[in-house]
Amino acid sequence: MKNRVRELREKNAWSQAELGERLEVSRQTINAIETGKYDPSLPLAFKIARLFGSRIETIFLDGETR
Amino acid sequence: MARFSNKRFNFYVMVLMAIYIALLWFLWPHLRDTHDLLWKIVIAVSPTVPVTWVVALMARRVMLADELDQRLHLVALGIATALVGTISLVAGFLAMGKVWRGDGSELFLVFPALCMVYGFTRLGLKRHFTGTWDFWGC
Repeated sequence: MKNRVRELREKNAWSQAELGERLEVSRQTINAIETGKYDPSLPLAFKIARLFGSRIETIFLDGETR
Repeated sequence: MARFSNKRFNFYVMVLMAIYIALLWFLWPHLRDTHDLLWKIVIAVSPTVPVTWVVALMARRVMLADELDQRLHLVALGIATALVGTISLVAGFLAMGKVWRGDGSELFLVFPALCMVYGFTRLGLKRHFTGTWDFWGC
């Protein structure tokens, strides 16, 4: 699943480690999410959306919807 | 529960494994000279105490890990269990059919084999998901 986590993180000038700290996950988890290798759980996705002040569907992009 | 640092966790594991080796080297040889059944049992299973402690530390570490790391641990454990379980099943049938004559001491190898397959699988998964070879980092 594609997502805009890297874009939003860079907009806030946060490192992966900083974002990980704010979300209480590891830097490696942030890296895996950003590269699309790992889709976060729903609670973590909501946490990410809350942190960036956006809606989940504007951050995580389902490739199958048109 | 406080999260373990890698350094602290590695230190505890090293100490416990040193105790395990010491028990095998210094206590186990006395097994042949001991005739009391209770003492025989105590000496025979004594090396499992530090190993069980290590397993408990690992379980605690997994419980405190984040969701990706927990997933990697569980997938690696699942693959290791399936593989080692299948091999044990084949070995069990071979032994029952008297094709392979084991004395049961081979069971000693099951746990280390499980740990080894788990370790390599976790390393591969970690590499796939995060692009690093860092085994302990979470």
